[in-house]
Amino acid sequence: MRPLVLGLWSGLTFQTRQMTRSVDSYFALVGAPFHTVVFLSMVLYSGRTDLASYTVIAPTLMTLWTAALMFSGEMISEDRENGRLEPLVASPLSFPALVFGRLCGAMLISVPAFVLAIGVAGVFFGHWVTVHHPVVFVLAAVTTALSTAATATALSALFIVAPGARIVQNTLSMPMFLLSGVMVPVALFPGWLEGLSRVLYLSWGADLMRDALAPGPVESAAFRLAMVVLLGALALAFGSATLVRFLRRARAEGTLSRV
Amino acid sequence: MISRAATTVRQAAVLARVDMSVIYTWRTWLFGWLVRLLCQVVFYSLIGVLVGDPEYTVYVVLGAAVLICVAETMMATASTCWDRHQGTLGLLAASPIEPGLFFFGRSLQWPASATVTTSIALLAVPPFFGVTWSPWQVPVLVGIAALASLSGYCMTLVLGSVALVFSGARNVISTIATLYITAFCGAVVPLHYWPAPIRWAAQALPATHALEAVRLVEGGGSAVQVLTALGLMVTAGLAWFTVAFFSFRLVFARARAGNRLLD
Repeated sequence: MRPLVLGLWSGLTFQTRQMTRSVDSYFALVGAPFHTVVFLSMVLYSGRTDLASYTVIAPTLMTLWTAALMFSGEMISEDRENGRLEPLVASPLSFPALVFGRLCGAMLISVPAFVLAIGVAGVFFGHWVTVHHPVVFVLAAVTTALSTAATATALSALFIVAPGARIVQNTLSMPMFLLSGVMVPVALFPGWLEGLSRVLYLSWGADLMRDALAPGPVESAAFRLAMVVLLGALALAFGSATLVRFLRRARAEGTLSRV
Repeated sequence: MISRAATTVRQAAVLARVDMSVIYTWRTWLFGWLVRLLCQVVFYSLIGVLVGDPEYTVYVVLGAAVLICVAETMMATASTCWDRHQGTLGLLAASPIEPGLFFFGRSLQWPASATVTTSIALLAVPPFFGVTWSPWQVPVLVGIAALASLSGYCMTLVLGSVALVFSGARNVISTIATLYITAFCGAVVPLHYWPAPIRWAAQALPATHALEAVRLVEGGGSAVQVLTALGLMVTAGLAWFTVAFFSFRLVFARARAGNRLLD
């Protein structure tokens, strides 16, 4: 248990410290205000002010996923280039927990993304979004961010095992935004596509966050939160198992430096 | 003079071709890159479906399809900096080439690929959202996609010349430019929705006129109207290329004078 907690805590504190020093960490934030302008102008032009809350959730989740792709692709290879990888692997802490902890720290970027989206909607369009169910909203945002970190851990494992997969790293953004319904609820999709989307934790998280901003009651909140956590946990289990298996093999064959 | 310029562009284009073959195989281009771009068109088009206005959905799907050439040609901002990262910029500065022409050829893979992806996006996605194309419209749309990609590329070269100096900000520059154009060129909401200064600035964007041309083709506009829109687009593209040409000259002149660009 101790290696897990130590890995998680070390990763989280390291990443938050690094993010306070590196401007590059905030690259994913650039899109948030512009996406808010694009989406909000679309719904306001169409006279659908009832959809305005969607336009602050979507940029927040898009920033979250963009950051996940960015960090999962770079993190381990940067550790190797900076000479950190070998001592980290040799240390007693859990390496998958360390990666997950770091990615959890990276997910803090969703907070300024949400603030930016809310601010742009309010300042430039005069449309201040109200959070009608703050508890559900916070729980949905936290579980979605954690599940994003878990999925990013799985992606990190995938990129390290199959470096060729990093070619498609940049191509995973839009398909995910589309399939998980960050802007358009998956309930509007054809049945077969909605079924596919429900496998993605982000579709549950996006629905729940939108409902938490709406004035009506949030139905089945506990079940939907559980789905976000369950799908995130499955991704984390896959990522951890893959990382452990890869590191065991790399230690045995002495190929860690080739990561 | 012209043959020397053509040689510079041709030789630089060799790099463009090689870079493209290193970045993508035909499989990763087709099943990765093209799928990502088509998902982008569908993503924006579904917002039209969400708001429940079929006419507006058609407006958005055409806009989103044209934006593909913006997204792809914007990649030239980063690829313009590759010579700096590979350490070959010093050799280029020492050579007698015209830098604007070299960098025009250097990233030609993006407008070439954008012509194909934008054509596919324009021809394949809109029919799912209520647009029908006649056979005669197909070559016209492909032609517009080619000219839009080339004009947009010329604009990107100006950003590339800036990114060459501030290479650490290359991705931020291209992302902001792409999203600015997405928001304010009339792709997702008509230009009259925005205040006058934004409308005026939009006239300098080749994408604004490309969209106008595509919408005229879809809506049955006359050939004169379509050609006028294309003329404005090409004029904007040429103006951007002229700015890029002198901007690269300035960057190289300063690099040769020793402003640490070649370090």
